[in-house]
Amino acid sequence: MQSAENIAIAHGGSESPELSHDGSATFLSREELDLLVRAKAGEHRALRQFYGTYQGQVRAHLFRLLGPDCEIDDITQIVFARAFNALASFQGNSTLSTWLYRITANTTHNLIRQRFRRDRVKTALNWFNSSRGTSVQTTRVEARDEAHRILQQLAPDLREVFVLYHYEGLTLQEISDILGKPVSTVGDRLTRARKKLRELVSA
Amino acid sequence: MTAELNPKRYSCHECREDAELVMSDRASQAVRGLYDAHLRECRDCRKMHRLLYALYEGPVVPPPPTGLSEEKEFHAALRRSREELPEPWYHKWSLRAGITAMAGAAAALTVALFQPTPIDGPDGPFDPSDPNGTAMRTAAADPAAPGGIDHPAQSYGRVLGGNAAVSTPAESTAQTNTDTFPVGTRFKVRNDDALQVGMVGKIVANFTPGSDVEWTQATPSLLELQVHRGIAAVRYDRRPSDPILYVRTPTAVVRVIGTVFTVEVDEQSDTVVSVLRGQVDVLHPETNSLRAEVESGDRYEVATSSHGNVGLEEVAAALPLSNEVDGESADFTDALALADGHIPKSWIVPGLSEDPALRTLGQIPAPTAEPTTFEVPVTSKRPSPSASEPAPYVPAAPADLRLDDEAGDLIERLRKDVEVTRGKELKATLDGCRDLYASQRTRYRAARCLSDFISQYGNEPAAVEGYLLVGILRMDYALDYRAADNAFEEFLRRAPKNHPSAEMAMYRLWLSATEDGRISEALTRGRRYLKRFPNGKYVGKLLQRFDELKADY
Repeated sequence: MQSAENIAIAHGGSESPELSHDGSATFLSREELDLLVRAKAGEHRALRQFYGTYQGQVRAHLFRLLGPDCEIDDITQIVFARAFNALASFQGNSTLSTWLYRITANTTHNLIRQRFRRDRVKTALNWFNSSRGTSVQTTRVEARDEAHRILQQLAPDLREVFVLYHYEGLTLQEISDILGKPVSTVGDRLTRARKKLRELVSA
Repeated sequence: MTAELNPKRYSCHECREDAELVMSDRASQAVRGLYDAHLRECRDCRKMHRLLYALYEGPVVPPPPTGLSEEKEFHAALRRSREELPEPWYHKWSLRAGITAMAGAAAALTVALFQPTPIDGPDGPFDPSDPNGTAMRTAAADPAAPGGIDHPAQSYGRVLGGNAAVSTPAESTAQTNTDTFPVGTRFKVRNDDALQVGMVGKIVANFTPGSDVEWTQATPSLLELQVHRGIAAVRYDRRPSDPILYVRTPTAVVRVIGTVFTVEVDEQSDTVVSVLRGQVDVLHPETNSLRAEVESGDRYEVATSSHGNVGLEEVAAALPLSNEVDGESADFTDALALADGHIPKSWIVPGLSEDPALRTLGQIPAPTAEPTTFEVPVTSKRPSPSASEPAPYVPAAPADLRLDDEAGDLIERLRKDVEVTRGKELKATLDGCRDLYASQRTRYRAARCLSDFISQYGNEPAAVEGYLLVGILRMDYALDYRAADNAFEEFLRRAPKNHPSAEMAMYRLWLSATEDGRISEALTRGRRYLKRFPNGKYVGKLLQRFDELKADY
């Protein structure tokens, strides 16, 4: 039997740092701020609203990063479970959206690396077969599937940056905040990602 | 490549170098022209262009889940977050028992030092001069109120009125002479009386005479009832984070997001689903595949897959659950107005007038046409009659409910007090309320009658118990916990401290907070009750729901 104390999520309460009302709070709109305060207090409805607002973003990002994957539901749950538990420590130094990208990136980073290592040979073989044996008259859907396969061959660090920049429309600075890397590193990764993709496509 | 704009020197190499510029719309007009011209001639570069274009365009993202799937995902994330919470340090300590004892002693000391006032009232007082009960309605309209089932104490139901043979699960310690029942309870309603119950503080249900209904599940994401026989009318004004309700019958599963509806299982175990407000899905009991969507005003027979109109029987079964609706909306804030016996405007009953005065049971037209049958393919065969028999059930021997009719006793006491002090005038008013309260069919209307009484005579000392009665009925039938709180607090404020009903008022304050999901408030109120009435008649009910209170007791 769960006790009442274990029920409320992210017991921020009096222990959690208050949101600063100076410059750092300007990342959040008044509605977001209100939602955050209620969610920090463990209010069920606020958590539900938070989930409803951002689940589309998280899912879409995971889909773009991983492609059609049976684990997306599971990873989405993990991302939000971590977000709920970390709400108390969220200081409001970024938008909620950026903060969720950061949690998503931390959650998926190791998974992508593991998969990349595991599938490297297999993917290369598939690419070899498909690029040699099939017609060049690729349809739009086929091109998308092919593009997804190519993207999966990109090293995880490069893929993350490419997806965040080109698909999610974030700036280099925002990606730098999310990944915790200098802007110059992010820019370098983006350039290398583009170059590698060009090579893979032209192969 | 801009330096080399000679078409003859523009090869595949240049084309691939420029591809990214073209994709990102950064190429000059001249380069774009060369690029396009090369693509027209080179098949390999066309393929490269398509692939690169698809890469930069990104995949087409499928839409996120909505409705039931979204709810399930949310609750799954919530469960995970609870599981991932780090274990508090004191749980790891080997001297846990010692700490518990110390905490208990500290709590007892704190309670002894800080004697609380008997009434905790963050809300404004009940205003007897407000004939429309506006103050109570305003207090109840709290859109930020939490939904969901957050604590095990909420996973109980209460009998609001009526008679039934009751079986409780074998492992339960619940007694059949209490109005509180746990998950697993089965009701066999007598043939001469209906039974009205509330569940998890969010659902009000009316089981018609002869019904056999079991409450089978209550989790944060799912509530489930099993109707073995008879008619179960249900009102569920669900909030976004509240659980989904499933009503199972031998031949169907009714999935409810939030609505007023009835489910009937007849003697042949056939199922009929009628919806008065909102919409429900009817699913196959084995495959969970969708059989039909039943909308307001529809009556759906599962055996023949036929649709017809909602009729008198279903509306009569659901009427004790009615709350008049303000405006067109149908969310939880509608449970604020008081029912007066008319069919609410929000209920769709085909052929019934829009004129409020004519929206009564007697005005419901008799069915004039055969129900419309649609060709609805049923993917799995219907269970055979033998399979549709109720599942073998080995309950504890059913026992008849023997409830104290506390509200009924209160009305009688109030009548006597009023008769002594103010004579026949007030007594006649109260007689009308008592008559309404006496029948299960009309009890839900007693709240309005008593509210009228309070608005006229609320300042009379003899009428003080009227507040308590109004609170009880508002809480039980309207699920209007804030208004009920105000009424109970007003009673405690006006009544002498040693009033015989003060204990009930404090118990009801605790119950209201518990069923409304205000757990910390419920614990505070529970401790106050236990402090003031350590041997009170409701102690068992408090301890049944809250393990936390056992340490204090």
